[in-house]
Amino acid sequence: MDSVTLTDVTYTYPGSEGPVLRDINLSIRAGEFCSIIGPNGAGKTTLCAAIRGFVPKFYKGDFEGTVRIKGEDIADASIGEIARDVGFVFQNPFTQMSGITASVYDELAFGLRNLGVPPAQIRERVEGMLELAGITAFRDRDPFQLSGGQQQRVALAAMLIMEQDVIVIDEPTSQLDPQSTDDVFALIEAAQKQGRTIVLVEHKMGHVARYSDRVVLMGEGRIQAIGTPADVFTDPAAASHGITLPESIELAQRLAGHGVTVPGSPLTVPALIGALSGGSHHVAD
Amino acid sequence: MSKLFAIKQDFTLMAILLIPIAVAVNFVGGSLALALKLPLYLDSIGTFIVAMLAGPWVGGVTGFLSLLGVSITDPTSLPWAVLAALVGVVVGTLARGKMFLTWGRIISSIGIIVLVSVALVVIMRFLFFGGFTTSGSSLVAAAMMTAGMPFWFAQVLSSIVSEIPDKTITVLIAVFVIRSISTRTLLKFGTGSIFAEYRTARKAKKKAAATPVAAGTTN
Amino acid sequence: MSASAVSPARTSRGSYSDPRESPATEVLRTGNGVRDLNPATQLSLAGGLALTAVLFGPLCMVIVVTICLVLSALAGRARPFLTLFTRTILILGIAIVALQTFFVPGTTELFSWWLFTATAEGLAAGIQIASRVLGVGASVILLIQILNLDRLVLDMEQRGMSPRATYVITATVNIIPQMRKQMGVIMDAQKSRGVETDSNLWVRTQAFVPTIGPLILNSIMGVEEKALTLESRGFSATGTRTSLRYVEDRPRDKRLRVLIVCALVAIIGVRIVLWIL
Ligand SMILES: Nc1ncnc2c1ncn2[C@@H]1O[C@H](COP(=O)(O)OP(=O)(O)OP(=O)(O)O)[C@@H](O)[C@H]1O
Ligand SMILES: [Mg+2]
Repeated sequence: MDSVTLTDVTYTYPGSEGPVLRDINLSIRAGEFCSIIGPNGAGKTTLCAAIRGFVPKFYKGDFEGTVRIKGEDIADASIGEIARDVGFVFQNPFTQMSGITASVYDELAFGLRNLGVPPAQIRERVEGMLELAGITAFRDRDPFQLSGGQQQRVALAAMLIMEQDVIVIDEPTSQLDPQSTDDVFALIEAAQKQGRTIVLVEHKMGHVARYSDRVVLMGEGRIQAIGTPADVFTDPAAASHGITLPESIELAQRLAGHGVTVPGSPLTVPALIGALSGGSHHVAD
Repeated sequence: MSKLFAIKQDFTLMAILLIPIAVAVNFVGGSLALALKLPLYLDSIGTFIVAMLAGPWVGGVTGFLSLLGVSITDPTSLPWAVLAALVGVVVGTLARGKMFLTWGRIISSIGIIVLVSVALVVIMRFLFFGGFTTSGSSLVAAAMMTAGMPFWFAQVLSSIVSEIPDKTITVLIAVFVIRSISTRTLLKFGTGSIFAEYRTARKAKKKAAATPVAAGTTN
Repeated sequence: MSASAVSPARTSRGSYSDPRESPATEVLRTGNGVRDLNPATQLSLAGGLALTAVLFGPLCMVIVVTICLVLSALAGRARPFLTLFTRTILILGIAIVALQTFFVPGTTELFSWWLFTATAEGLAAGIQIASRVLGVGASVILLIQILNLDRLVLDMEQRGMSPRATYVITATVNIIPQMRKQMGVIMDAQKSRGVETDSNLWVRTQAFVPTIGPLILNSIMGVEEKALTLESRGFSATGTRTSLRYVEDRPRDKRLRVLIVCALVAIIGVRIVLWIL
């Protein structure tokens, strides 16, 4: 079943010159890990905001088309009610702390309290999420005293705990070091394993290639290419939109230039090595 | 007019989130002025900015909360919470009346704000403290009376002397900050969008002036 | 449902579910009788004391200040009470008496000193005003000593106050130390340039804007993302909210509040009678 469906979505921000999203048609299956890539200003964030209903409910502006979550048109739902179905994680860890909690524990409980979940259940779910996100060690710490990477894991955990079916995540790792990036991705993967639909905007193509079921390439407000990571990264559109390819694919293409053809499109460096050492490669001449 | 009284509508989530920031800016501004040994208070910059972005009621709440906060460490400041709230309301009302858009209007606004502040300071000081406190401007008033000036004259003059530079600089900093905020962000705030619309209109005018032929066709 | 639900349940609880119905909620308690009074009781207590001091003269002020001191002592806060009282309110009170004595014109001259003449009228006026200031000030300081902000906010929630209102209060208290910290970083940079100690007023004034400007702009820039984060966490969701803690409003508190109101009515009555006589 489709979890997220956008039909003919065209959108213009108030005061902006032309549409930022143009004729977007996109269906994301339940449980799918869908990544959105594209150059700066392509409309990735705006697309995410449309899925969450922030566009047009918060940003106003001219909106055409429909967005459906689990088949329901969200145009009729209030911005507060959509919180039960769609979670949203942002880039900046600092602004994602609620600002009114004294501990990580309370920060995780905040969303559930707003939704009126019974106290005993809140405590149980907070304990579970602290464990899952690997943040048990700082359960009593002030969220503002944590490092950026720790804060981002708290922000993600505070969203995931609400158990929405769809999680939209916009460049969660752009301000993080490699270790924190891996931690965040591990948590996102865990959420997907719980059967939740992931919509992720990410510039780190190695991670996109490794985790995604499907990749959407955005450019100038339109979907330029869509398909499996292997399809999209080998699509000429990717290069023309200035996408840095994942290392493995880049290497494979260079090797091809030197006459070494690699079968398929290895999405990770180990896969590339595997493909090469598997003896199934052909050296010309 | 009826829009002015729709108080609840002013307290949007964006406005609500602005209040804590503004109170903190007031605190930080006040202590920075002290640290730099400036002869000014500069402890209401946050209130002014919020009033310009989110209107009189949010501005009033910000001023009130700021002085409530100060009173925790200095309870003698508590009565001035009323003053701070009223000044916030005045600034917000001026902003809603488009009074911070051009330099001419900004100068008139400063005049109005100073007048209101002086009147309130003198009246409240008399009501709550009998006319004399340990504040700088009050001691100046006392000195002026020793020199033979009448009570009310000394009170008003000493307040004017301290309010004019403080409120002028506060308004200028607030306007400077508002002008540095992107149009996109300004549009998210009720009163702030007045500044955004003015900016867009002016840009359009400039463009039209640069290409007079196109101006006729686009309109 | 649970053992803790002994007291009769309040029927109207605003938009929050009754925390006493679950054993998973905890009572916010300090273990001190005065500080554990319900915040509404504490507020009416301080308000009543302040009003009494305003309505009556210096003698009553002495009583009010004594009561405030005793209550602070019972709350284990005698020392902070006295420190704050002497450093702020008492100094102001003494200054008011002195300034009024010397600056209020009158016919009864007490003594002359340098340029100043002390009058009996001024002294009398000073004592009246100062006693009001001292009485109200002592009540406010008492409140500062016994009122806990977390408990106040929780109590407001329990009484049906909008989550937006309580958000503002808590967030304000939390944000100030953060801003101070950010400010400290910027200030250190300025200090290393010697701005702070520069004797030129203009140089110091010019340092102000670049120090505070970016701080304000960055904070305003973050507001949008914060608003959307709160929306995503269901801050605007309708329906009942849950509290994990609660503040008690015991029968004792209610009796005390009734008592305070009765006492106030009596005090105002006495005041009116005294005015008429
Ligand atoms: N609130 C807004 N008001 C007006 N225009 C906006 C707003 N937000 C974004 N835009 C514009 O819309 C276009 C798409 O922006 P968007 O943020 O969706 O791009 P993006 O793909 O997420 O880029 P990035 O990689 O930089 O995050 C840009 O031209 C941007 O300037
Ligand atoms: Mg973006």
